[in-house]
Amino acid sequence: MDIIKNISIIFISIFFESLPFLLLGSLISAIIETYVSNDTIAKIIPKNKVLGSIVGIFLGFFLPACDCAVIPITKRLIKKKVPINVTISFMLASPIINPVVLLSTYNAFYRTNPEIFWYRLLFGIIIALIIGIIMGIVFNKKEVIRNSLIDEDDCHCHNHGHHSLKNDISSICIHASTDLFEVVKYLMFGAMLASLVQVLLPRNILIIFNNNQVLSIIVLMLFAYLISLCSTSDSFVGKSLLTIFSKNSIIAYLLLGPMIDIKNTIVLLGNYKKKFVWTLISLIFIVIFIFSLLVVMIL
Amino acid sequence: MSKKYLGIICLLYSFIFGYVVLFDKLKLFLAPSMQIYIKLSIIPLFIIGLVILLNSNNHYKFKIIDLVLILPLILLIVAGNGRLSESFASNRATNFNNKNRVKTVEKKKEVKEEKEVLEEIDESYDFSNPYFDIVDSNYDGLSGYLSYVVKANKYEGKTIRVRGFALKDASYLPDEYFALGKYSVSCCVADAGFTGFFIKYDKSKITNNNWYEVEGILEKGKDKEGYDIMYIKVINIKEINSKKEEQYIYPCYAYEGDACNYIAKYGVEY
Repeated sequence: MDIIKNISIIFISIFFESLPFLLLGSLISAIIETYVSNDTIAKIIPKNKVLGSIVGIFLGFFLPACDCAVIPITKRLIKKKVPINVTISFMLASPIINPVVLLSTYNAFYRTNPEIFWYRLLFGIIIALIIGIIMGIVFNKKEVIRNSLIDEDDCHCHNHGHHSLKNDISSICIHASTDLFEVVKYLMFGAMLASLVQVLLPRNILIIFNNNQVLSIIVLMLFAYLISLCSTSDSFVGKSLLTIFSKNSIIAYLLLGPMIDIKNTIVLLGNYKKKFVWTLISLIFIVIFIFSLLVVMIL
Repeated sequence: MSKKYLGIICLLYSFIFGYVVLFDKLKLFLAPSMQIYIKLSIIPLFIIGLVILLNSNNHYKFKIIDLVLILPLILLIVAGNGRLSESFASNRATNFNNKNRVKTVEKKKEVKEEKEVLEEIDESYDFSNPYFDIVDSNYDGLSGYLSYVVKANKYEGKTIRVRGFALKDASYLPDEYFALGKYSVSCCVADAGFTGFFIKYDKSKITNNNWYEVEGILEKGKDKEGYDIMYIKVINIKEINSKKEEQYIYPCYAYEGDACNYIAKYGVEY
């Protein structure tokens, strides 16, 4: 009975922590849908893939989106014909470089291990840039979003082009709710899975792997993936792990958690095509692993 | 009805958030710094729900999978009083209070870091005080600092009083020690770790996961792997009622406002 109660408490805490940010992301997405036309976006976003991804990363700094909030915004941007490289770079960079997460990483590490703060920031940007460009080359818009969702809420409000306060509020509310719950219903499964892992997986088994540089990187990447903490709190958990793990494996943990976890995998699979999601996840794991090995050589 | 479903769910979430705020249940799930976001979400969710219920332009089609959206309500009921069981801490032992455990290869840097931290501690706490009462606001700070001050001798011989639940099986503990502590929460309960103090005492007289108040003298010792630790040598120990105790403590940065500076300056309850 204790186990069921613990799982429920962990689930509710993940739900409470995520929902306000998902709501914020959905409201931003709905405002984009209501006020920003496809033509405007086409004019602003550079065609060049590198420049486009850099714009995506800048967007990540200015939109206060954590790893939950980026999903509805990214989906809206793809529907608005923003190139894949821009949206993926935004999706991967924003949960690491937005001001709230930067501040928590600073608080957790800057006094005793400032290099971890800088590696998380710089590698986060570079990795988002690289993966964004690769995904932009491999996929186009039609291969990304699940067929059943492509036109789901595009033209149901009949308000576009007739801006009045009443119409706009109604449009924003309807779009925000559709975006929010399209993500939240998959969050339910993801949060449940993460709660099961949190309660049933003993953390002590991590210690078995802490003497091997390569194994400890892989183990902490898998740990970040499975426990699905938000990108604000994982800095502090990362700090506590620093007592038993090497710095490069902590950096791998801090980079992977915000970019992908089991909770967001389920949300992504509910919204995007399988081939796209699994390619993205594989790339994230491979590139972060390579960068973490680079840190071993530098440190 | 089906196209109004999302509106009903929005209102349901808005009421759930309102309920946990109004009846002070939010602290069972979130650290103080994160609670503001739930409070800020209540009105937008309520407005969105209301607009959807009143709007005829909504073409949403209900699917069976959408029933999963009522899961938070069900699990909030299952969560009952919201107290995480103490046995869960054994699963979190990696967060145990050994923040100064640094690998040998990093020894040089460690000395420099330790000096800086000690200077900060010197400015933060009143070392002329012979008696330290560990309350929730200085719990995490003092627990962490004890592992740093072990070489500074400043706490040695001081009397200390602390309340928490007992862990007998934490991996670093030498045979004659148990750990007394609480869950430390940075953002939400999902990131809870165990933060506590080494207590030197006859373990057979202690029940794992029960709550105790310990009063004792701070002394130096070694953990299982030979690292220096500061432990509490028991003068008085008594079992206390767990239901009356707050089981979560928060690092100072997890409070709203400038709690770190406040606690560092006064070292008292925030």
